[in-house]
Amino acid sequence: MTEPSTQVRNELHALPGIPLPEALWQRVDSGRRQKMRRRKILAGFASLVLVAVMATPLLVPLLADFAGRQGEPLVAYQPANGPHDIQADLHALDQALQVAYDRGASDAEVAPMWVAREALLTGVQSPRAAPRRNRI
Amino acid sequence: MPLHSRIAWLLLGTCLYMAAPAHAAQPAGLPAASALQAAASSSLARYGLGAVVDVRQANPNGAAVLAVTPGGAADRMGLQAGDRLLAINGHRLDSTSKPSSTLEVALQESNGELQVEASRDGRPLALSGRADALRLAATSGNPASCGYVSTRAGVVPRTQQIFHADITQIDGRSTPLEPSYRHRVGAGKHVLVVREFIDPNYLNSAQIHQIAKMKKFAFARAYKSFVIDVKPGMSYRIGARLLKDKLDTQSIRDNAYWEPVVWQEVAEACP
Repeated sequence: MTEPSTQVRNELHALPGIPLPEALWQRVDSGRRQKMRRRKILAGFASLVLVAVMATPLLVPLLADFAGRQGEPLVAYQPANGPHDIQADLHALDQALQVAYDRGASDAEVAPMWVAREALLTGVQSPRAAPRRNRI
Repeated sequence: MPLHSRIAWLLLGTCLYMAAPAHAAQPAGLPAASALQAAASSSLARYGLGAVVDVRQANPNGAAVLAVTPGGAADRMGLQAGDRLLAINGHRLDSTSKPSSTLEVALQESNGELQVEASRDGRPLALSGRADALRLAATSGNPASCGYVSTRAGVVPRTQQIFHADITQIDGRSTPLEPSYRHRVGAGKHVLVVREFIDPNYLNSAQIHQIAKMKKFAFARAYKSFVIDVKPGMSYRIGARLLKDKLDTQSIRDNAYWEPVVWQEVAEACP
């Protein structure tokens, strides 16, 4: 293709400018903004992935511990087994009750310990150990 | 700072916090808990009667024996629940304004020997025997023989219907009012009183209403007590287990819809 002559070039420059549509610049701006938004989202996602990769070694023991715990049997409180255990538990409960009475605890405060004591007493035969019904 | 950067730093911070060992977190209330234990240790008597006596108020009829520990000193002497203590080792309990301190002094100053004046159904009784030597909880100060009970350490296994709980009393003493989720205790048997913090999202609206109503009337009676045997160098995580099959109206009224549990035991040396 041959170069246009200088005359043709001058004639082209001399042509009047064509007015652009009003919405053109708005479309250009909107396209630019969308492009920037896409870039930001991509950068954010990449940062999150990076953090996740960095945090994985820290989280692995925690997750493993949690997964292991799911399978472990829980040590739920069960009433003491055997007369010796019951006696020791009763002794601890009675000491705690006396401490509570010494400090002037209310009936409501001591009530849970009496309930626990009654539950334990089902395994004890001494009738003298039975508390008075009107204690609370 | 751009939004994505903030999110990234937040996530990183959360990860680091979660990955930190549970025992590394020292609750702010720990000194108060330790102080409580120290106070508990120093105030424990060396001798006990082996009975529960209501010494909250002065009574001219004497102090009521509410219960007798099987095999304890009172049981061996023949005291019974319902008897009234009039005097111990010459210290009158029917004419003192402070029966609590009088009983304490009477038990401690006789080197374990007991001379008891009591009444049963209006008849006087004279009993004698030897007091129980109490196991001192002072060992809580000894790192080799202490452990922890905690309520907020670790991740509560909600999938197993276990939720947070709060310890309100240890061995009859109130825990500090300020938040303290870990308590140092001596090795051996301890009595805990626990209240539940079950997540309402696991209950329907009727159950939430019934539980709230029950708690309003029961107050501290809605708590539960149990005995835990603490081994040296161990930490016990306490929670409340929701009993799904006990969520009917009557069970809720009876406070039977939950139970305290030790959901994890972990080794944790006392400093």
